[in-house]
Amino acid sequence: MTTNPEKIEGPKPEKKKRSAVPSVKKLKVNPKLSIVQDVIELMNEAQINELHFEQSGVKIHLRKGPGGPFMVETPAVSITSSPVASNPGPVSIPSADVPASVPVNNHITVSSPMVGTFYRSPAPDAKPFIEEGDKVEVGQVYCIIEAMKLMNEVKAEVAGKVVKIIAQNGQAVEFNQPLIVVDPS
Amino acid sequence: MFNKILIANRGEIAIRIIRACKELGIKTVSVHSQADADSLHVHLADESVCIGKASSKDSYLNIPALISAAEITDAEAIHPGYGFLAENAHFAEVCASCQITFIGPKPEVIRLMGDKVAAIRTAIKAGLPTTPGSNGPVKDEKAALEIAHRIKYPVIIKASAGGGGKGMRIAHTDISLTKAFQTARTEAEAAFGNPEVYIEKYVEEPRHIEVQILGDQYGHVIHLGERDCTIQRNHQKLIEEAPSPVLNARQRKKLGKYALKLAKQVNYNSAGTIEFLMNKDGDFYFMEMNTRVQVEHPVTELIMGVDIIKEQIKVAAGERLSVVKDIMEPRGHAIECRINAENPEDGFRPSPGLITTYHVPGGPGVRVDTHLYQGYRVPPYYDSLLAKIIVHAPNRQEAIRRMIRALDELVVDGIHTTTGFLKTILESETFRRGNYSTHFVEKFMKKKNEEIGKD
Repeated sequence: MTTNPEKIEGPKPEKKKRSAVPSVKKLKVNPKLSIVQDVIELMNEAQINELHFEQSGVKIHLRKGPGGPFMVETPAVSITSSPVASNPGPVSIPSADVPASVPVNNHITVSSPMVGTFYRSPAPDAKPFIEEGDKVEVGQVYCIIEAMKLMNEVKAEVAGKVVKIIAQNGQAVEFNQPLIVVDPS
Repeated sequence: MFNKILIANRGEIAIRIIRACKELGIKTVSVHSQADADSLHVHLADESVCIGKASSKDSYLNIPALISAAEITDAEAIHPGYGFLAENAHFAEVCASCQITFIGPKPEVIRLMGDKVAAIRTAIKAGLPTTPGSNGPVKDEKAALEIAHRIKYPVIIKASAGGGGKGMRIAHTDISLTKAFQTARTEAEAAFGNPEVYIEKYVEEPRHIEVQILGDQYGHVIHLGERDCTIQRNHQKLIEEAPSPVLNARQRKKLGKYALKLAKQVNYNSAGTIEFLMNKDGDFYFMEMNTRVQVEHPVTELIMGVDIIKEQIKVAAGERLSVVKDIMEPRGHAIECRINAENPEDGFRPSPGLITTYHVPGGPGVRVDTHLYQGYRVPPYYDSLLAKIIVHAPNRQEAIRRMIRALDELVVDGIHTTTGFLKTILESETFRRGNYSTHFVEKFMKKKNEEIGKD
């Protein structure tokens, strides 16, 4: 039985309209990313043949071939072909930009440990726990994720400085959604 | 009617529920683990929420995450599908306390039917025949022998806290019973932390026949006929069909009556299935009741012309069952094949991985319920069901031919599947004759291995 080996690159489904919950759903690692470029340069300079790189949920596996380092398909890399959606919208290729949750240097992204609502203060009329630029210590509370009427504190695991607060006050967040970027000292 | 439903499941059943919701004009929320971010049910729903890491307990079994996901998306109801939390009475209670409608029966009924011994007692009260046995724990060898003499050999010893075919031992004589009783207790203690065992008459050459029921919140209960799920391997169903090829009209009527009696006894609402064993003499024994929609529901839908998922949703929303007639007449014959990501040549070892080429069968009387697509990476964390190929035809013979035709059209490259293995079962003379028990697949495989050995 003959099968058509051509990949069917169908139109990508329309981006989900969720109540303002921006999130990194697909991580398409692209050679244009400076992080990959840095690693390639490192491999060439240090004459490394195979390198597995992992940081903040990004996993890259590079192996040197005759033409230079190439990427080995890993589960962390998203699949190119896509399901044919029932209502095809405009074809949109995932952006090659570095998503906010993949910091280029050693910045740490604090992600939501649960599904819930993100709050910056302990109470509606109270001061926010942190502001951008603040220094934080280990154990300091960053924010609250409210789930099922319970307020869950998200605490700092390393000391550092708050670089950016990505999530917005009162925003619905899903598991592992990026909340805050911290520069560890 | 609900404005928005959250589907607390994944894979093909999540898609099945999303489809029913779409046709009813209900918005859908899908949930997914990190490993399922690219799964089809995520793409088909109106909204999606990542609820946790890959492992089931962190995601699809994570009650706080599911409730929270319903809250942040304003979903009014949760459909649990099958497996995961579908028969978890505690989850149903948590939903109720959070003002979220759990699409299924009441928590008390889930709890009652989930307890094997309590379910059997309820069935007895409703007048159903049950496998003769101890109907409770057996405390020592003397009691075991008494029971065995009363119900006659062969008997099977089962762990009270067990399930899934584990901790079961069969005995044919007093000597083997004494030995088996002690061993079963030791094994039960080791496997389930509870040495308690009970004894039942061992039904030889059994057939597995189940009846689909539907009930609404107004006390109206109907049955949608039986399904025959005798083709099993290690107590896992492989091929199901409706109607059963071996029941006569009298037996069919009796089964339906039993099912309704039990449903009314517990004031059942939503969809449910009552499972029976049938021995070689055509006697039925109540086995258990499943208070959820089942994997094989499509074969019933096709011969009865009913949408079971839509009925569940309507009933949960306080509407009456759409089905008007109390007894429905089936039309034609339907067969379902479960296609699993397993390698039959390698002890059915799971075969997750990337699906490089995928082509779905079609044409008259072919229905495919699946979450597969070309380029999809089957994750290793969940069950291996890839797709259900279901056919509907005027009679069983044509249904078998149609299924073989459909399986020939199916292409799933890049991983191993059980497609070829299922095809050989369908082509076997024994299957065509319809005369087999739950031991058939085991015997069939043994014979095939012997034939291969001879070459």
